[in-house]
Amino acid sequence: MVEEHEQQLELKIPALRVGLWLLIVIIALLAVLPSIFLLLWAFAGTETVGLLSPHTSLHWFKQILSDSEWRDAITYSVILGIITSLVGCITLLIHFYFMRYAPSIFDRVAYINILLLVLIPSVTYALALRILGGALRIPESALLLAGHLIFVIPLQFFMLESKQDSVPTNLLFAGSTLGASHFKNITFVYLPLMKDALWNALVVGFFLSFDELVVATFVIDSPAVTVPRRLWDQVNTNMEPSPAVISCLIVGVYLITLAATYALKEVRGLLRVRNR
Amino acid sequence: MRSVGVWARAGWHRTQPVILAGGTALLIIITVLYWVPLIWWLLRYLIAEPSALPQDLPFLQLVGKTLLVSSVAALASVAGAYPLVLMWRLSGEFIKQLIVFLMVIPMVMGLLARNYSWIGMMSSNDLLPSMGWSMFGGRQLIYTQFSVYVVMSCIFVPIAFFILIQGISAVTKNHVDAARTLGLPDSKIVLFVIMPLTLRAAALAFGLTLAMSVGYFITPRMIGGGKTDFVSNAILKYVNLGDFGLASMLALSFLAVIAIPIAAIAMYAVRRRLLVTGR
Repeated sequence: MVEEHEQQLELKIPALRVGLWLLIVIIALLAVLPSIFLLLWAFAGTETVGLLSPHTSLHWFKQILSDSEWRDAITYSVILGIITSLVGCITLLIHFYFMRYAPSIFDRVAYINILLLVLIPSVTYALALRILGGALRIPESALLLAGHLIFVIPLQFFMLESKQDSVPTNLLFAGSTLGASHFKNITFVYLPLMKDALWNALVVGFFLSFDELVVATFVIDSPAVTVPRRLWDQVNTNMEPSPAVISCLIVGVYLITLAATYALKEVRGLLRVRNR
Repeated sequence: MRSVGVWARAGWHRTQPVILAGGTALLIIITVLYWVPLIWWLLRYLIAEPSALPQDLPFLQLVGKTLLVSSVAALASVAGAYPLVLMWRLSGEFIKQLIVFLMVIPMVMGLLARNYSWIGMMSSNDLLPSMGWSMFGGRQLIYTQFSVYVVMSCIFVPIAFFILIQGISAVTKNHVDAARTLGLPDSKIVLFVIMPLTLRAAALAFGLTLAMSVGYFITPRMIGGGKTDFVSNAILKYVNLGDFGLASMLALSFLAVIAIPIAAIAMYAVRRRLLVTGR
């Protein structure tokens, strides 16, 4: 059954559609052109800004992937991304589950907190983290983990919150009434119903953490840097296509993840049909 | 006695400890990782080590520029996201997915990389590498305030789009059918039904985008070339010089200026959520 808000609105206004399409083409071009430029820059870039080589090659990819400092930065960012995204998702899964049982004031307080995380400028928090870390000699990696987690949680919160209406509270209460512990209720009732949204939040959280720059700029002092920090450090020094290469690698990973998710869903669907 | 009554009315006395623990897990993480560093820093620089901003620092000018550029960029990004969202709601599954894909790809590409690509496009004189910007005098545009407006708006369009989607999803087929039954032509349904129903989401998108952009320092630094610096750029400059006291005073002063707008946006968002979801 198609949800009410998912049904297509059919309005017969050809002039509006033409106007909208024209606007969309302009806006989409402005939003997408930089991405197309990055693709060209990665494969045909030169050391001179804005100058492309007539031949395409994998030269810059090989150079970055063979550079140990770049490899270390990518590994560091990937590890941070996986940990923060996972911790964020698990925390929010527990939060949204228990919000069905807890007094509503908890939900409101949590929402206000999430809003403030978004609304208070991140430089303020990054500065506070840096000064506290320096005063208490907290390791840089711990500060980065904290900063990334605080950065990722709000978006994952909004993504998971929008899926809460599709999980009936009565179903969870039924599980509890039948004697399931909260752990079992989460594992066997709530998690299966939330798994698609959770997977999306996990993927988005990872990419968001991978791209985080504010905390990295303020907190990192040692040679162990994340990818965005390394890119930021070279803003004034060179215009090699390293940002474009990193972007292409990220988009490649994203598209592979997307394709794998789609293939997995298709296989599951086929298996379900066969089992019937 | 009164506080006991409030406690009882909230139903907390009946709440199991495991539910209390689970329900506060997120709050504990946010308190420990966010509020503790922030409050410790606030107390340190407000009470223990207060200092004044240097006389030669054009603080008000910085704040003015930050708020002006951020407001224009936030407004332009919401206006830019609106046609996309409208088409997303009026279209079938394929177009919907295409529009979402177009918005997701720039976000995945990364913030820094997109700023780099704008520098590359605007710096080139050739048609292909400049992606057509050479025809509009891209080289003259780069490192100006106008280019910061353009790039920041483009960067925030996907964010505004995903916030607006939540609002326009609330417009159902029943709304359109009811308007049609009441005799409204299709052209007026957009103007008098769909637009007003998405106004709150648009206001929220504007507020959140504005809040994000005031703390932003990447585009002003990279595309503005130092001519359109925000308050955040000045804070970062003092941090790089190792002057944490001055950086903190600047951040605190800025926080004081934007505290009321932040509170207003937060209250508006909470009220909207209460109206829409009942929570």
